Amino acid sequence: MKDSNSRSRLFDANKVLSLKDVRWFELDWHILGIAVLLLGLGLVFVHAMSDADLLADRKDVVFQKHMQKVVLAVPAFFVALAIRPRFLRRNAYVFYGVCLAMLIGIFLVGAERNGARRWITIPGIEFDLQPSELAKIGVIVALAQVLYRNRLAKLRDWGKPLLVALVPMGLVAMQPDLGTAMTLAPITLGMLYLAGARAKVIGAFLVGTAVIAFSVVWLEIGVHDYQLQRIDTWRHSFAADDLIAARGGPAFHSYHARVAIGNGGVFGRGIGDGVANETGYLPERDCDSVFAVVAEEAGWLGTMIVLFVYILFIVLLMGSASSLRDRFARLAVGGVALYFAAHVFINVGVNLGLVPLTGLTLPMFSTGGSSMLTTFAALGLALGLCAHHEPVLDADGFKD
Amino acid sequence: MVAQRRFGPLIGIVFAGLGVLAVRLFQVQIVEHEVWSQQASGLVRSSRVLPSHRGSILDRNGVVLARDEDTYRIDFKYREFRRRHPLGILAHAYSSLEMRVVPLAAALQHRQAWTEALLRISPQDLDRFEAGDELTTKVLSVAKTETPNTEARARRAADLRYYVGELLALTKEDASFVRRLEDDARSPSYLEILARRRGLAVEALLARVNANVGRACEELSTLAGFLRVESRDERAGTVLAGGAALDRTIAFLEDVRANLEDESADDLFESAAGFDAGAISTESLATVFDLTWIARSLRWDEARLSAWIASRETRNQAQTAAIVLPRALVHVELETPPRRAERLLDEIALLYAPPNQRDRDEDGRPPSWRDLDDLAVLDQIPSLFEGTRMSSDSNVPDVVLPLQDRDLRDIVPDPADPWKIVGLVSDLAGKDGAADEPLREPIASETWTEFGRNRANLESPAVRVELTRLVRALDRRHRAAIDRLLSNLSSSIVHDDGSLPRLTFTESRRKRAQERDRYVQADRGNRPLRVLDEPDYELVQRIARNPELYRGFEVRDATKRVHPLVDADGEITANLLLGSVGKPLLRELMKQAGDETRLSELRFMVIRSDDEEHEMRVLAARVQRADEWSGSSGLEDYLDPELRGKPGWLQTEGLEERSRNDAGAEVVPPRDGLDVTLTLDVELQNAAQQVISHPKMPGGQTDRAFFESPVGAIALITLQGEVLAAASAPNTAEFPAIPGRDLERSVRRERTLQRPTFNPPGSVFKPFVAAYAIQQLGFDPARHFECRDMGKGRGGFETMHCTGIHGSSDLKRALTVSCNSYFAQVGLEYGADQAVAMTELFGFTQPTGIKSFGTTGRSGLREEVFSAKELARAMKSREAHMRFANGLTVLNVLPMQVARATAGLVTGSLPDVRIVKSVGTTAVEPAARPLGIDEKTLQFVASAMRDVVDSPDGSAHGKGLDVGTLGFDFACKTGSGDYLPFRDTPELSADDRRAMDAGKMRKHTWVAGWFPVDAPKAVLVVYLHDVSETSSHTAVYVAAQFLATDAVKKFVGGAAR
Repeated sequence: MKDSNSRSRLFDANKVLSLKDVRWFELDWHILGIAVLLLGLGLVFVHAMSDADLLADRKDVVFQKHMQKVVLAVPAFFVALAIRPRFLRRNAYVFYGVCLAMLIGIFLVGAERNGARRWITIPGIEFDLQPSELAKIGVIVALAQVLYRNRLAKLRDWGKPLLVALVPMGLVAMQPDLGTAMTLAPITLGMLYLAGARAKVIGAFLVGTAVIAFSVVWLEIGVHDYQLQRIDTWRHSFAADDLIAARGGPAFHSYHARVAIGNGGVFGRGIGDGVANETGYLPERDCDSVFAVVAEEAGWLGTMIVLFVYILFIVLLMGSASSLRDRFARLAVGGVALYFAAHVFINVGVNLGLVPLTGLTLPMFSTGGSSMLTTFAALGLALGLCAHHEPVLDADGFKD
Repeated sequence: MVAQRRFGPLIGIVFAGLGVLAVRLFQVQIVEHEVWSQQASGLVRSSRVLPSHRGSILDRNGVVLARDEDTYRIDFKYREFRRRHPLGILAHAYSSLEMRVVPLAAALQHRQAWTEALLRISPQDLDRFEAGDELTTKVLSVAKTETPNTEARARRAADLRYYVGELLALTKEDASFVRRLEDDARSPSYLEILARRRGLAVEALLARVNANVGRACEELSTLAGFLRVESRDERAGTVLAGGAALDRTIAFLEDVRANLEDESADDLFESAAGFDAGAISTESLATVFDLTWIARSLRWDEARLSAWIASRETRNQAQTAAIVLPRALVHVELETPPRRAERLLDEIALLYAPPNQRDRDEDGRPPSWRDLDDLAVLDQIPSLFEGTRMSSDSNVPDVVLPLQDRDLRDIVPDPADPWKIVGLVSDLAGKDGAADEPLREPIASETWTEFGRNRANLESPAVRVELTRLVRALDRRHRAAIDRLLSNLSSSIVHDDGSLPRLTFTESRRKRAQERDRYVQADRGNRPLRVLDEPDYELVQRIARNPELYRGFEVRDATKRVHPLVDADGEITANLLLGSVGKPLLRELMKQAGDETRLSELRFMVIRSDDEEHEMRVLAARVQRADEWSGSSGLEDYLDPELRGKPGWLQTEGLEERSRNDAGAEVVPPRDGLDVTLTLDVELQNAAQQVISHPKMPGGQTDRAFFESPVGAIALITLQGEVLAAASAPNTAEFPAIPGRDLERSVRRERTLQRPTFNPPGSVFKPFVAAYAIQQLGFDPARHFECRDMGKGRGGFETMHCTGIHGSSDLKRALTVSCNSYFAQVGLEYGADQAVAMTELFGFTQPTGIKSFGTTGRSGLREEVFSAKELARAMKSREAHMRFANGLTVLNVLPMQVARATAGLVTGSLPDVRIVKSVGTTAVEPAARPLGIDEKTLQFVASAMRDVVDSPDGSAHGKGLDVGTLGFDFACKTGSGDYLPFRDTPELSADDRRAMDAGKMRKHTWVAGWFPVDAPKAVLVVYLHDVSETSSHTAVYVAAQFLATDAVKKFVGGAAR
């Protein structure tokens, strides 16, 4: 009877999602508050962009559409918040498998735009889902599960976690979306480190990867023409003079981002009054290049405050993760913190010319629907894992 | 708790990352802020030039000869017309709807119905249209689509929202109101929403909008009456043939629109491909490339896209012939002559070099043609497209152009025939049937050698034609290779059904082009097009007062050069001397290319030193704008540094819409040029011009043909060298050539400072010979020489002939009667060095000093000075000495030199000739040097010259130069310098044939003298070119006519001015 009861309870919704089990007083309200603050700031900037477009006969950025995405993403936050840790750990591979299936499905039913298949249009709500964004959470959860009992003490321990990371990375790179694929690298390496990998090994791994990447680029093996061009453009766009000289060619995007950021000065041009909004020349200014708009309109001081708030958010998330006794939850929340860190550093680095141009959103600010959905889900997941505090019955729970 | 401790290092890395970002952010936002803010300003900057005034040119009494006058011009910006003029809005809104170029004429014809249909669309209709639904209005229906992205529905809907808003003149508040009602379930139209907001009935609002649209279109018709527009290309030529003013204006607007869209398409293609669409053959462009994305961007249908494709190759060829090759030739001309042939090939090779191999060196030289390996386009094509691969059996030859031929490259240039190498390239280019147009006969190599041998002007039509042929032949080879390569690539992705797909640019290339899409169109459409200079004031008033009715058309300030004074022929006073103004020549702009590059570098520098800051300011002041007026000839050119101002500019930042009222504008005020006061006296100038242009034919023996079509000059200067008048003929219409004489009658030129032909002074040279001989050679003026009878009523000495038989004369009589025999013998007293020293003393082998004003290296005033070396070379024989003393054969002079030397003879000091009296408020000081001739000698010569007029046997006696006729006395010397024999042609006139048969030569005749004799005020020189009779029968009459004018009488009678 006990077995049958427990088997029937397996499909009990309460075992999957439970807001009742969330210890609200222990929820990291301060982290949520910072996230809401960042989201609010993002809404202010997007609203200003929308107003600027209204003035300038453009409709590139529509605030209402952004709000619709936010509203659509809020349930994802609560769903992720309500997921029970144990269910998540036990079904991590299922979730990971779904993500892989979607990544493969893209090649069959995905919408092709500009030569890339990255989106699946969800009928009814006209929402373009980008599975590679969700795959980041899939990788975090699956890696947390793989590393749950794996401390990477031996060489053979590395195989499974690397496979878990490399398969989706490969699929995403094939779309092709090398930028998103590369985002998974710091998340994976960070989680491997958290799981016990030696810093020296990680360092050696990084050096090896860098050498391989450099060789690949140098020898032009397996790299698309446009990717080489982006790297070449990046190499020659660090200095202002070079970037200005190349502004009419492939450096068009980088040039306009740099102009916007540099134009901000110490105190900024004021919200909505930046050249990026006035001219509309900066590509993706509401999405991948939103940081350039923020930097221009808020200035160095304002931008540093925004960056500091982001870092505070990430550090607090890491702090919460470190206090968790459940290794799975600790690794998953740490992975989410790494996810946010990777996005922030790569996005800001791209806009500042520190990293070659790649399309990546700035969490909470950018208007991309899938990114927003993933951001909310990841945040909900992290806060939920921190607040559920389920008893740790696994032997591993007492080891740390 | 291993894992928990591990968060520490990660947090450390995060903070380190923050540090890196903060430092980089600091660098970009604070250290480089100035650079980026300048760039940002440039992106939103709207500036216009504030014209400066060129300084006026005044005569010595303050009478204006040339000045700048404020005027207007009408500019046209198509972007403004498209976005804000109802006609532009309607045509482009329907273009966005129908994805085809909707003609403006159709929009004009259906304006009411189209306006209503557009305004009756609801925001929800547009949202649905954007999503792919059909859109139906009263006048058209757009079908549903399953691929809204492919059909650019979002951007088309955005276009329509904007156009509807402009048509309704929505304010920002109106727009917000409309947005709030976008979700209204009743789906009200824009018209209904705005009517509700403004509390109007829908029909009343529609009537109001229609009235505005109608008025703007009516005003366009009025405007058309003022505009004298012409079509810029053949596209609208047929429309213009006989249409009314409005038709012509509509055709003009269509013309501008078509050109802008063509250029935008060119930009988009080049952004994606990296090269010009015209580099591809029309057939390949039409059949191999997938260019539907360009059509979508520009709202074109297939027919319009095809028209663009069909025109690219031709346009490319036309641009090459009209712009690229002339530029290349200017580059070649700037090269030293021995290297010009190589440089021409370098410039040609540059046309085919890949983009990364086109850098010129610091001197503007391109890479050597001998280093051309890879070719543009061919090198670029393999990486352009999605999913293509080169097949191994590529049929593109390694050597496409002869410029890549190894054997040809190894040829060392032949210094004796440097152009041969160009000819060899031409020959090879035309071989192998690549040229369907036969090259010139004889073959090209000989043609180029011929050009080189004859030092043909590189900008001459013949050279241009040959060069165009060569480049066309190279183009054909290049295009043929490109076609083969494209065919190869295309066949690598054959469809399953065997059809060949169109090649699609890679994602990154299309993305790059699409990113530039809006920028390109805005940039192109914002460039002002000058449509009318000096418009009627009524038109200016209309546009300035009602700009909302003339969107796209703008009134701009401008200046024009005005010459208020004209002579009796209606010609501008002193036109040949004043010259003209114009825009800088291509050559001048290219010469300052180095300065421009440096200026650009300095502007982009993040940090500039004080020296660099100074250098930047100097360059900014020096570099001339392409639309800046400057002197192009004459004094306007010579005095350009003083006369030219510096235009200012008005610069506004921020969105164009925000800055319409120039709020927050930055003004750099224009700096006007300085006024220049000349030494000329307009009355004397006009009198001199009238006389030299229309000399009255004297009675008796004279040159009738000359007086009917005179060529010559009158120079009048003060004793201090100030030019009072400098008139030259012909001045208005050129005269037909007189049979048997030269072609100078057909040329208008300034002749007091120029000597286009051999120009001996004849006997006006004798007083200087005499004065120098007395002073420097110790010649005794009482010494007698014989003028012997040489037969046929003519006297002479050895080989020197005289017009009369003068017998024995002393120096004074010889001067009075102008005895050649006497002076031939005086000439024998001169050594060669003394002859040269004499000409130098009186300034005949030196500049007059008129160009001493200002810095060296100025152009505009041409002064053709005979060199002392040439004279020294000529003084080798006894005959040369005899001719020298008579002013014949061995030397050349200018009328202004004779005038200056005469002034020296009168005063004992040789003055510098000056034409500038003052610049601004600064007077130009006179300069002179003493001749070292004593007063007694001067008096002697002056007395003899007085006798030339007063003595009964004087050569100018009885010709109207006496005090009784003029009212003042005049002393002078006449002169006739043999020029050339008559050319014996059947058309020779009877008079000339008689003169020829009598052994007479064609000659230049002169009079050089001063007046009044005892209180000299001015020196007069009359110079007549290519006449058949001596001065006594020609020049003296012209001098008398001038001296008898009221202007001269007034000048002599008035106080010295």
